[in-house]
Amino acid sequence: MEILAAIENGGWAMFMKESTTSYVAVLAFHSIGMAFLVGISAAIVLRVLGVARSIPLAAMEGFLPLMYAGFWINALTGVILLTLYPTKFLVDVVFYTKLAAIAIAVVVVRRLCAQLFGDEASLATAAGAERARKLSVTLLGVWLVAITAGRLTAYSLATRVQTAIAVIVVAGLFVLIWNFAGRRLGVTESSGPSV
Amino acid sequence: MYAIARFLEYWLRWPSVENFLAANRWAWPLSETLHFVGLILLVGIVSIFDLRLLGVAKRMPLAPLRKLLPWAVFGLVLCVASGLVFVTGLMNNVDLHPWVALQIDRYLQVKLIFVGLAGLNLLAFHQSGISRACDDLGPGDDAPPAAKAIAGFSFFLWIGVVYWGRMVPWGI
Repeated sequence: MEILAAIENGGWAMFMKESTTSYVAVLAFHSIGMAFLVGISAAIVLRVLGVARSIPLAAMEGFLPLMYAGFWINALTGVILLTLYPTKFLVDVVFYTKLAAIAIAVVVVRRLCAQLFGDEASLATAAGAERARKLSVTLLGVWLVAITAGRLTAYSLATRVQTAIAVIVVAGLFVLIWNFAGRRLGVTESSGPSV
Repeated sequence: MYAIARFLEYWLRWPSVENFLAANRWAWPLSETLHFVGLILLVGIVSIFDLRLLGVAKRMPLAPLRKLLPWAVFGLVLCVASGLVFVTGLMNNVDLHPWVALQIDRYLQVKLIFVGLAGLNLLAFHQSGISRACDDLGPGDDAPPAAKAIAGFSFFLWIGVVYWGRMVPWGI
């Protein structure tokens, strides 16, 4: 704990916190990285789940460098932000929830990309298509957990619990609409991926 | 001008939203989360479209990518709806009228200018006929220079919207 306090009160951390522009700029780049990382992976996942099936999946591989750039922007800015308030974040269960969700997301993204861009033939089989669908749904879920947990580090315990329940309710409503009205509304074109 | 100021001063503050936010602690962070989900869909998908026009992932034909755009619009709707909660319910969070915040928050002003420019840029893409010229962009095809210029400007503007948007709370 003393080491963490030393980092938090050290020259680097004090400079960043006193220079509001630098601190907020790091926060802003964290949001930009998130938009690239989660946005590109969400687009790929939507395609796997039946949205815009005329998009050739293999060609989406060309957008992966932007997704990886988003990851590294967030890793760098995330470490910087952690060094500013380590005594706050490293004792916060919500922060660890965010890290765990990101770790799972990284594993799922790697598996999904390995299948979509390295084993396209498997998507033609029912088992392969189902695997891709499950990975995609899992990825959307863990991204939502990571985003929500990231926001909730700023709030009290009661607000965290209430907000988590509210997010689950909203996500549940979205899944219900997707399942019962998605095809009718033309949101999804089929239940499985195709190459 | 005075009439517009009075109009905005009246309509930007909604006591009913303030009361709802005060009674439901989850509503503000839920709106923040939805704002982030919205910006992810909007910026992620618009970036894909812009990058393809700029020559990234050239194996991708452009026409099918248009089918993702309704999700970017859905993201925009989420951002606007949650953004309205932040504005109209601002006085639940800080003792500052949203009309005053709009006048003093430079980051918010720049963000709104960037959003407006992005809208005009999109209008130019469609109204100039450049959009139609890109309809048949197949695998390996290069977009016209004008389309690349518009795509590059769009990419820059939306990154700017996220950047300045994150700064907004520090401008008050």
